[in-house]
Amino acid sequence: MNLESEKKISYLWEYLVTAGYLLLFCALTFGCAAFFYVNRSLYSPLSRPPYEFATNLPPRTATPHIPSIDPFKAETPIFRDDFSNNDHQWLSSQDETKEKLDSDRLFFQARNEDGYGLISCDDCPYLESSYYLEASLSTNLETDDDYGLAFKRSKTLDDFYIFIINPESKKYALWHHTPDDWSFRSSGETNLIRPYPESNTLGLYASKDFIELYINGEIIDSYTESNSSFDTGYFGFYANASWFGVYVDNVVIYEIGK
Amino acid sequence: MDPQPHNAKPGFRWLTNIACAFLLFLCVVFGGAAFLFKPFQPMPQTPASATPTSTPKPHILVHQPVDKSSILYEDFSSNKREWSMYYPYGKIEMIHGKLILQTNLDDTYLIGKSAEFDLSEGAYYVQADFATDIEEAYSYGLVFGFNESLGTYYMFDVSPATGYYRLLKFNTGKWDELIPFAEVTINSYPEVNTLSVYFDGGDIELYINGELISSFNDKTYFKSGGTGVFVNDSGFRLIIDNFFAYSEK
Repeated sequence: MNLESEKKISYLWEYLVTAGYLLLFCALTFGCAAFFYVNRSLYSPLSRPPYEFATNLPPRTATPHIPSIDPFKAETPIFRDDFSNNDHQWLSSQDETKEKLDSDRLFFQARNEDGYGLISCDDCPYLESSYYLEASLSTNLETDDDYGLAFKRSKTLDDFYIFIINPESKKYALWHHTPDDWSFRSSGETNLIRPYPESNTLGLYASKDFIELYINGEIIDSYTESNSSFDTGYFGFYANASWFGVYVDNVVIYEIGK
Repeated sequence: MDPQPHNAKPGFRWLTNIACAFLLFLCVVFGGAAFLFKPFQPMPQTPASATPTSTPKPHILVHQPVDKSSILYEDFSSNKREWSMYYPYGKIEMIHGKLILQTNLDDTYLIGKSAEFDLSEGAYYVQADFATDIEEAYSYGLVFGFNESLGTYYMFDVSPATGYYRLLKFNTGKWDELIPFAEVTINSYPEVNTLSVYFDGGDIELYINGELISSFNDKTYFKSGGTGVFVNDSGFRLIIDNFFAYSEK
């Protein structure tokens, strides 16, 4: 009797060890199979495009870099003007543009009939690092023509980019002006553009070779141009014709990422 | 009597335990092999931040000019040549040494061009490498004989998704299909296709990946030599690289 009970106890122990080994074997086999399967499904070579870019497509996939900023409540900007005075010397003699301060707003208009109006201030900074520029613009007349921001303006003043809107067609566009010609870079349509007589707040984030375009606090497009430096240069405002004028208010520039 | 120790504990079953140890050994071997070799690790992709090659691989395929220095080459490392859109509703960018062209409107094409590739009248050659960012791309191609003032041009239109090409002529608002849709062997996504056109006084030769696929004589040909690229339809981005062009005197 005593011997029989001892045998039962010893076999049970061995069965348990054997079952444990088998379970471990099954678990490792299952783990290997899962590893192969996951690898195959995740890294199938043809499931990915050959080229990948960070942020490009307008406007459906654009991701705001700058959330809506209250220009007079956020951190200290590097430039701000509410046009309560002419401290930044906007009212200098600029051949192509006539300007004045009107009800705490800047008003400018192209001087030449077939020309455009472009205004900068004598005391405006030459921007040299990543920034966000914002201003509210409206017109004195209902117009089907374009107006907007000018940026990356060279020290010779004849090379610059413009980000313009057309409140009637609700289109926006990005152009580059060189001393010789105009170059059309990007355009689109958005219902964010408000019609006359409402003002539109245009925003521009510039960092090295990349910019983001904002209208009334929302991003509408982005643009990249390798080996460019959009975050340097003077800024200003642009009107595409002489038969209407543009009001500018609440200009603010924040240095970003410093 | 105290029981003997060898009677109190049963003997160890060596055969059973050796078998179990062998099973464990197999687990370790197979598991280790699977971990080390990783047969399905990701394929190396074209890096997103591809820097322009310092020694670009020029591959003018046909009609090399006698004076090779007159070949114009664009690697799209910057936009110093002022590549620009000809029609609105789209975007033309330079990213990582590539020209990226896209239109935002359905059923609409967009032309990208630079005035520096407006070739002189007579015989000329133009070539570029094309790819798309997704498989579901409609068509794209080369523009030549372009006159910006008149808005006239030829289009060498290629559709890798369907394997067809055609040659179009746009003249004062009217389209002429000089070569209707024809089947051709063309690389499918994500491979690059090199398109080339040789033009000589109305004689037009069309090349895909170095192979002459068709020729056409246009008796009322455009004398202007503007060249460029175009993307047809929205929903994808056209990726262009290695734009070559030259004029023959």
